[in-house]
Amino acid sequence: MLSRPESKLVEVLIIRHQAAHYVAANKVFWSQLLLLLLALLLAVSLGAINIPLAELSRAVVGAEQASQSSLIITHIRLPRALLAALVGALLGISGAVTQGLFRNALADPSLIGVTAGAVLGASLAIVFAGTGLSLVMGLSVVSIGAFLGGAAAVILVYRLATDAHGTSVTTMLLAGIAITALAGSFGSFMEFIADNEMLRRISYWKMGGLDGASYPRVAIAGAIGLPVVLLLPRYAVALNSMLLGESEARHLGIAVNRVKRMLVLLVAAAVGVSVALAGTISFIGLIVPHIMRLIIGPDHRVLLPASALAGAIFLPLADTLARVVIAPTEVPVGMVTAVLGAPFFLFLLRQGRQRG
Amino acid sequence: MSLLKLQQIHVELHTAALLKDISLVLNSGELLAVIGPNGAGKSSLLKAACGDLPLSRGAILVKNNSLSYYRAEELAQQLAVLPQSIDLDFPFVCRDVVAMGRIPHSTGAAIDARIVAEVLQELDIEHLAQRLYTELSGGEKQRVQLARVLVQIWGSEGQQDNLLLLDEPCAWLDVAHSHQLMKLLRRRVAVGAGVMMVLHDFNLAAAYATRVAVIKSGELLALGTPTEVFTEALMREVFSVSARVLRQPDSDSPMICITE
Repeated sequence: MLSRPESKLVEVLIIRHQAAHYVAANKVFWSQLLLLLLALLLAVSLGAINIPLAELSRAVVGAEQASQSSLIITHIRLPRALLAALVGALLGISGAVTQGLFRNALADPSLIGVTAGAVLGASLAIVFAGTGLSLVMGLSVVSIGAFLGGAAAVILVYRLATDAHGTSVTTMLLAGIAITALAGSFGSFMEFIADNEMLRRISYWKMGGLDGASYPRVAIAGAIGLPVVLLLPRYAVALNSMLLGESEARHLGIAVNRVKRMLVLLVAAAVGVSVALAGTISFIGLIVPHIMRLIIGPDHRVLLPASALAGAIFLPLADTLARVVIAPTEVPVGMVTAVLGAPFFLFLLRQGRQRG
Repeated sequence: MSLLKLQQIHVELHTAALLKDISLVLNSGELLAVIGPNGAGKSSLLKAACGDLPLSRGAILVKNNSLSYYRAEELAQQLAVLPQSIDLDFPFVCRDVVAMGRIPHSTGAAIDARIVAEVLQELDIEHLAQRLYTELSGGEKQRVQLARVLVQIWGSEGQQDNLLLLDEPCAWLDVAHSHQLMKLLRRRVAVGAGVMMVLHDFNLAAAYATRVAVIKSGELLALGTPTEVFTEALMREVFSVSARVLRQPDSDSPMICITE
């Protein structure tokens, strides 16, 4: 049995717990900024060749001219870390938006068909664009094929789910599943007719990787990604109200159909660009918003920026792990995120079941 | 002043008529109870009135303008709707759910917070404010959603002639909370609001409504004061029950006693 002061303490703790479910948004925001900085530092200093922090700072300010370390950092690791952070942010925020749009905390951006379309687009490019794979503005034909494939799939899914009464989110989900299956079977056919070299390339691309990172790619990711990341939070209040139901959101003065169209478009651009530049990286869009919702709550005004930042922290770390785990060979980062994400997802599923 | 006018509205769904040429007017200061057996079209009437169900014929006027005259936000500032059930599966803090009622308004955080606090107090749910919505019981959730729609039409800057459509708001509430809600609605009506609500409890309707509309098979069978509407003949014809209509000793409003 507890003594009086102790039981008092327990009481206070329980009340505290009930009163404050979520961590304050500004606390989370500042810790995330700090973690992001740390993640980027780790990403540029760790690798097949570890670079101590002292040398790192010299390389960044450019004091030491053209040493091997500074070349590795500025030409290879920094663009890669930046691309990882951008892609992570895009996947994180897209996941949060998709889960809100579908009113389901277990939804994933790939549900609207964008990922499967992108994979098909990339496979087509690999098989038919031949061995040339010429570069356009630092983008391979494969990346362009992936982006176009993703965009085409989303437009198709959106069209299928839209009629005179507006867009049905349920139909969009089902159409997304059908389009994903269809694109998948075409993709299998591509693999069937591909030769060994193409096959290896397709399967490697499907696993996702950031090894093609370069400053032009960072610039493209930034040019499309940053506006998306900045635009999406403007729909936070609309997303909150849509969690009550679409009619309820309409009765709160939200132009639901216009909002849905914008959100689908922005998510498609975000996921399309990240798939085009980094291949399919699974589970970030699913797990990151889920974890952030547990910490900061479901209010999209804080959840969207927090998910973007968390994605930007997680992917550079996962990519660093992918580079060092059996260095000097790199593991595709999509495998790392899946290996970390899948068990956690199952854990969340079990938790949810226990709570009923 | 007429807040809501239904002009011969007719609603069909896959050739089945849900509502047949219904006309009625809801004025500022009125609490209209809609009663009728299951499947009579009560919820359809509410959904049609707020534009959720497309009309086959007829027109709906809010403050003498058609629904399409208003921008979505403008309409939401003066018309709030509470459906029979709301599935909100995300663990919002209840205060945030209630505060969603202020989304269409741009009155500023201070006024919004004051209105939310006022409504929480009026509905006696201040103790739920910091709880998670997903952890509440059915009746508690219902009161939080009621708070949300009340917050939406609470009226600020002197404008009080707002419209509230409620579909069975008392379904999950115990006796005390039902009466508390009806009294609160009467106070809103007294300052200029108009309320149209679906009710199943005859005696609640008889005690608090200024007028009662009776719907059966999509038709408006009766419309009038509780005393005019609640008759033994109507109870038999519409609800197929034998009933005796007595008088409340204090207020003289009708009291329906089912004898079968």
